[in-house]
Amino acid sequence: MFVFPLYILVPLLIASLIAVINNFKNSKLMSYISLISVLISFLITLFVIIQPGNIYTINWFNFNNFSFNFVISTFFLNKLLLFLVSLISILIFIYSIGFINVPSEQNRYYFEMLIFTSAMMLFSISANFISLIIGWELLGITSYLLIGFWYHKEKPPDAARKAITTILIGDISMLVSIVIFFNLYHTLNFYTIINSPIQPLLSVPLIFLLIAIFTKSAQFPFTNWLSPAMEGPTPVSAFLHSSTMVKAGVFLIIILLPLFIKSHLLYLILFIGLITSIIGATNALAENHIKKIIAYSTIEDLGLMMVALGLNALYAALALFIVQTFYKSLLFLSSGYIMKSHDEKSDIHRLSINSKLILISLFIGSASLAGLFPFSGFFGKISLDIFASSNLIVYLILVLIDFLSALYIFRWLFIMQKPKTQKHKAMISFSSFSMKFAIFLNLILLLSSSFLFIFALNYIFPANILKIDYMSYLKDEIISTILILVAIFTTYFYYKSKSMDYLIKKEKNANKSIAHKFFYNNVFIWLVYSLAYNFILAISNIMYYFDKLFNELIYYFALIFIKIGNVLKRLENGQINTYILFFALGLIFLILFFIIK
Amino acid sequence: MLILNQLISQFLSNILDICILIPAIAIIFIALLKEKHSRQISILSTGLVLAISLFLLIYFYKIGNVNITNSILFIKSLNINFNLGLNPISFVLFLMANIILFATALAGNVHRAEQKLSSFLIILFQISGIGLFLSLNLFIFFIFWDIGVISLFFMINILGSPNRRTASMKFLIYEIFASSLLLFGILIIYFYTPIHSFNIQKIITNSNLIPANIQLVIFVLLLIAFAINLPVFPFHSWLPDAHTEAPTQGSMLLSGILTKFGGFGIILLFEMLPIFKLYSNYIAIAAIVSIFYSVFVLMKQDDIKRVIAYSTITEMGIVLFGISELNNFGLFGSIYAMLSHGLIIALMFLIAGSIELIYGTRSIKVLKGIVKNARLSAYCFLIGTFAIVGMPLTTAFIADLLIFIGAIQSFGLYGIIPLFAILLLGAFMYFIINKSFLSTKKYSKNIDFIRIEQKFVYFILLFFIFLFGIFPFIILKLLNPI
Repeated sequence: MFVFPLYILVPLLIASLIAVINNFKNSKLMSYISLISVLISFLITLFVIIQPGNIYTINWFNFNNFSFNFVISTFFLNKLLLFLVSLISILIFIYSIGFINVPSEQNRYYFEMLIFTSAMMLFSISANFISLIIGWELLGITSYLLIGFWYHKEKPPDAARKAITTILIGDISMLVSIVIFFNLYHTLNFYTIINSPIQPLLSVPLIFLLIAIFTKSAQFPFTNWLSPAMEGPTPVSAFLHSSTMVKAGVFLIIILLPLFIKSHLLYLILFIGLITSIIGATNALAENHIKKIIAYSTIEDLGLMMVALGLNALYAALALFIVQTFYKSLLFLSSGYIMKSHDEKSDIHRLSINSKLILISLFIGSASLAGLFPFSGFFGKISLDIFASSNLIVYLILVLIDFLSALYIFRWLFIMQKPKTQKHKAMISFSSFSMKFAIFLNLILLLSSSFLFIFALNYIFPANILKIDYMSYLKDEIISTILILVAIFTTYFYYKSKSMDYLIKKEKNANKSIAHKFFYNNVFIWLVYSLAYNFILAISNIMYYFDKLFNELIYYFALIFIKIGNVLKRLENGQINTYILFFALGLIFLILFFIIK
Repeated sequence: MLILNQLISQFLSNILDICILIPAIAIIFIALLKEKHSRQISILSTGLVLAISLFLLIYFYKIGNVNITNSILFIKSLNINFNLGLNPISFVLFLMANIILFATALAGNVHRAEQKLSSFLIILFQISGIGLFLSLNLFIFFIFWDIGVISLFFMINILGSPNRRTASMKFLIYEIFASSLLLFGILIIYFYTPIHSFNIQKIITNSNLIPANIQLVIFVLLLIAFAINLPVFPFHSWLPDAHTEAPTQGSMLLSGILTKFGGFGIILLFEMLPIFKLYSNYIAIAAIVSIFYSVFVLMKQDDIKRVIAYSTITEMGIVLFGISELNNFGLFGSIYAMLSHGLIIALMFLIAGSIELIYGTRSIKVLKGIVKNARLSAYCFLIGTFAIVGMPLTTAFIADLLIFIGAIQSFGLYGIIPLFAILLLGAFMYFIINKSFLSTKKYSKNIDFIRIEQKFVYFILLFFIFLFGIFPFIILKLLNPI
């Protein structure tokens, strides 16, 4: 029953079982066990990647002449995501050894992380909706558990609830979409559905599917769960944002792209992607929380991937997909280190960078995010720009977003890099070898991915994906590089010239400005949410009072019978003269009746 | 080997009688022996029947179909037989009832002073629950129905919380009204079928001979009876009160098994009366109204038990919706939904009961930080919530999948409407978890009190929820579409 690619899940599941059964008190044993399991599953992944792509079917259950199967495929896209997930998971688990230093919570953390990783791996190799939804919903649930990991603190439970409520909308619409797909095609296999002739109602399940994708990938109406989700542990954020969870939605569109093309839904994806990336970029400029700025940059990146898919530029989407993985995890891991060494403070004005490695990795990560040559981020952003250049409006918006993203990420970097006086700092002595080692590995991965993009593009992508010859678009590349350099230098000189006290004072007064109010924390989306919430609450209020009234009515209805009974009870009072009276009355009536008759 | 087969066949031919005899003997022992033995006897009795039903599950899974009948002549002059039998539909519910009964006898029944009475009532209800799902005869169906109602009435009336008198009377009046309608309907069926029989199989084959207007009368009578039991919106108001006042074991049995009587009845109605198909759209609308009504009322409740009670109305509304689809996906989906709901709701009520025991309150506003004091219960509540919402790998996912595939076949895109109620239900359950399970803003009472039996029952219920969720073919192989 077990097919070969599913063996990647086995070590992870065994390790998670160990985490449930055993409770290693005051030791780091669990973290090493889970690291080993992740390493083994990485090796199996490599083995899967070497094998030629194939499709496997496992029967789950048969019902009513239909069979419900798990279908697993190992084509290029599956292998790509699988590779990224298992690669990043190694970094995350190394990082976690130093990060999770509360022994009593270790088992819970590793259990949730391992299930999360295996759900993502299952998702990445799934080729039908059954195996997809299992991975999809387990991802949502474990991310809920991981975001609310520090549940004894004040904020994380709320953040987790926001996340799960949004994700729940996605899960339900995913189920709706699956059910409609099944009735349209009588199969749930992706490749069969893609190759079947187009059905008239195809766009209906696809729209529900898009809702699910937008919730998971934090697209426009559902962007708001991602920034509160920063309350979770940093390795979780890094994993969530770099290769798993939020990428799941994008990946699903990539796989089902032919269907979206057939049903003319690309414009919707393009539009939502543009709105989302503008929201992400502008909110990141107004934010001060070290991790939330990167979270908004994730929203922006996901929006850009949606734009690429909306333009039917598969190559650009994939390039963004790959490069984003490395710089995002690098930025998160480094900022987690900074937060840890400042006693979990999060305002960028209060933080400073104390280690050379962190400074280098932050700079390279930021440069890659901004899209500076020769780092790999450049190849992602520029290929999207090249694909968009035929459409002037989209192109201009994209250039603006590139400029904004360079601005906010270097604002983030230069404020932190500025030397702080003693009164702004809350430095504690902290050093962790495993965390630094993970950051170092990630740095190497980012640089080597840049190297691959420059020199060995043809080895990354197979021949059937249309690639860009970067040499023939020098004009676009130079324009974008100049813009980014302008952004970098303006931020550099601006933050160099101003004193720290001035910046903090300015930040305090920023709440008063209209622009800040407009861009900070997605006010309008929250407004819509609260409207919907109040609407449901109003209906619920009406129904509640109706239910009370209904119960009262039943009570009074019962009371009528009691009253009647009370009246009738008086007839039987046990007094003989009353009975004689009734007897006489009855006799009179009887006699009268016979007389009249 | 031959002897073994003969033994098995001998055993099988009497197995259904044995299933009813075991609790019948146990109840005598409980009545005769001292109070300290009563709990053990109840556990033994429910455990034995559970073991038999698990054996039957394995046996049926091997031979691939479910079909046994036992018949003893009961009242000769009226041609009433004591027909017991199992078909795929009743077997699933029979199995579910036995799991819940065992869980109830083991964990729901620990901290009460009146153990003898409590065990007695559980075993009385065991007879009723087993007998009802085994009955192939409307007459004994009715008898077992009333036994169940009466045993739960006493359970609420004697063992319940302070406000139990009104709630139990309300429950009794509603249920007796339902059973009088049921009796009336059954008698009409008896007199209008040409062969004058209570046997369900014979009624199904001869149902076309009942005149259409009489069928309508029977349909309305039985539908109202079963709708009260399910419950469906205008007839629901006994359920939240009964649940709030009932003891833990009462809630588990009430929601876990008694509401399934109604669901089983509706499936019988669907099989017996051809006229059901004409009115299925109205039933679906009633189900949707009931689903949304209960979800919206649920969102204003403050009592955890009341919330779970209203969620029962939602889930049973989905079951009714599934049956009204009139296709195999809907029918078997709703049976699966009943299985799933019974297991999950028993778990949830057990947790609610244990929370009340620890904190002395069930108010969502007052409770805080349950996960700190009652860690295992909190985790199980979380998993139960995931299961209610329909997480894959739990039974609820299979149920939802089958029901809504059928819904789209029957009602088109309107069929997905009930899913939005599940969305609201899930959102509110997460709100509860956030408010009273996670946030640890000072609630000082710190008694970590959980018995080993209760842990074991959590394990059993979760085991079956995941077993039938991960390996749905165990059940679905038996449910061969007719």
